[in-house]
Amino acid sequence: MSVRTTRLVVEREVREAARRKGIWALVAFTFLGSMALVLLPELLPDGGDDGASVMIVGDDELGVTAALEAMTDPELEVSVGDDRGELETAIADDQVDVGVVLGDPPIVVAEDVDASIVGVVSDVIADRVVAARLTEVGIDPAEVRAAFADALPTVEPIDAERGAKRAAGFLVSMVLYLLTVILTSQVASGVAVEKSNRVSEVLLAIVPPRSLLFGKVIGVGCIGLVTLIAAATPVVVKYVAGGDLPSGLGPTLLASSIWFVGGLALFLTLAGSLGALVSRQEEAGSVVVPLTMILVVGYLTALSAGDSVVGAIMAYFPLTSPMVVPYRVAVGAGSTFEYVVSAILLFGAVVLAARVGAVVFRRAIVRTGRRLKLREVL
Amino acid sequence: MTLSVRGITQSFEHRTVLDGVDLEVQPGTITGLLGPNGAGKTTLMRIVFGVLDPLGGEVRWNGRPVTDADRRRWGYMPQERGLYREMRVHDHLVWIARLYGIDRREAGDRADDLLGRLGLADRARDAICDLSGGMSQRVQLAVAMVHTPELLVLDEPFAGLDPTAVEFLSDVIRDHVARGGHLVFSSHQLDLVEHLCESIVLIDRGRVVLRGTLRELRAASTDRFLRVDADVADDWVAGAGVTRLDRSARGTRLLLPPGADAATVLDDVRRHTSVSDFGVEAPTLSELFLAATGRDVAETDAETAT
Repeated sequence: MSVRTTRLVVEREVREAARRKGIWALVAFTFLGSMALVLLPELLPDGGDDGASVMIVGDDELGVTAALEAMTDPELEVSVGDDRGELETAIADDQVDVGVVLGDPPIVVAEDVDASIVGVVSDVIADRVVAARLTEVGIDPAEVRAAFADALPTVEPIDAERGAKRAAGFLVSMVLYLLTVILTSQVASGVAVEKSNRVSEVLLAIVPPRSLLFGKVIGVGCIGLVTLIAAATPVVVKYVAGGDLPSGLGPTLLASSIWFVGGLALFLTLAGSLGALVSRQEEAGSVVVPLTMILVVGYLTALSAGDSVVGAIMAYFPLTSPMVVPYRVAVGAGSTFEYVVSAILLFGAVVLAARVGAVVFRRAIVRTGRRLKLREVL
Repeated sequence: MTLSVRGITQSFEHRTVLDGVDLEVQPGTITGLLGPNGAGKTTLMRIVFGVLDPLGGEVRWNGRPVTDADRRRWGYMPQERGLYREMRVHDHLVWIARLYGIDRREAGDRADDLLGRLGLADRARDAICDLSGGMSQRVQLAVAMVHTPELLVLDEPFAGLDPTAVEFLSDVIRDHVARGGHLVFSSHQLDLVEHLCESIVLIDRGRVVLRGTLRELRAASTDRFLRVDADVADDWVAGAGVTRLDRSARGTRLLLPPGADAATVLDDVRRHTSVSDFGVEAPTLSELFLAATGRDVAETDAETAT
């Protein structure tokens, strides 16, 4: 294969792509999406626990006000109102989050009755009421509290960041899936256009068929890499700057890069040689349907069962591993052994596809007139 | 140097497309590969260019089997426009030149020169899809010529061109040959190109049916035609034995039967209508094709088109 002519084909592919607005829209879209992913956690307030405020009305015989003011987690801003009317107005105007009407029984008033602050306030009031009643019957509330503190089980989350890891895997899988699908059909239709308008005929008189096929695959692949870099840059910058990343995104991106490059090489090579089978551009879409189907299956498996046995099996198949493995890395489902074997199989498949694809392309690109079947050119 | 094509045979799906075709292209001679659509002209050209491998026969250049390196010094213009439609004219030419191994600066100079010669200098920055059919045809020609090829192979270069463009292209072809270049082109419009060809190979259904210069081919035919500038009815000349009459807007061509006297036939016509212009002529190329194959080129084209 001539390196010089392949390089020229790549150069043309990239330069002409850079002229198209669609490419820049895609790059900008992925970049902005990534920026949003990185920046949103910084911009959003950290939950609603801080700065909650409580208004109390009524006679505070139980010392509820003092108990609420003494709270440190969360810290509460406690105010005292004149009557229930004032309290409800204050809640309606969003000046306070929760209102407490002391009496028998005490009432907690809130707009969002499921908010955690309602539970916190209710607990404090209940504690004061129970303490008062215990004292009435001659029991020291402190002893009871100590007994409860021992009895309550400690709640420990198994993987506090599991949700974040799944989200990271989901996002990365989606970007890779969309990008691979777009680029796959781009290569197939590019080859079909060249065949149908006979550019390939002019070029084949000058350059070897391999240069045409791999030039296009590498050229379109470069566009894909630019898009991936656009997606990864905000994440990497934030990582280097020491910011908090959604958990699992770093290793997922690294794994994604490896399987993305391998998967892209595989799918684009196959798409290029399949694209040579058709004689009209309109048929290019149908010829890559099997590839797109496999991508969809890989993608959906990654999303729904990426960390299951099915996912583990699919992680070894070169046609599905590019979709499944990045997800498995994100959620930490696979082993190092699995990743190494999967990568070896993937890049082995790329070499095989390049050899077979070049033969299919060379034989099919010159046979015009009707759509060819794959076995006619093998 | 001579391009010598020997005994080329090709078939697609058990249908024979070329059956032992020979073709010689000498330097300084315009060679026409002529025949109706579907005769096998394009397939032969693709074989010459190595785009297709023949089942049998060989292509020789300079007395030995052709190599890829030889072919890179040839230029090929396919019948359908083989250009990237969205690319700019100048960029496209430079890119093709670089594929031929010409460095970027030299490629730019050649593109400027060719575009100037082909009257496209002011369209150099336009995308090819914004050009008219005739204009993009010239770009296609420039692509075939950007590396100053020793041999130019043009497949149906005149198809769909207006008379001005035909004349322009004919000049470019004559110019290439006058510089000692090799040139072969194909056409199904026999009468349009018969005067341009200095050597003719007429093929039909994958076989060569006639070859030689136009003069030789005409001399070899005993057919003579009477041309009159009037519409002639069949029964006016039936007595003289004339059975074939071709009527057109310019008048009628009557095939004179062997031994017939042209003056007698002319008198027969003049008894019915006035004639102000007439002549006795040798057959045209399409009439020679008809005589050789028994088939009309125009009708054959219509068959393959449907």
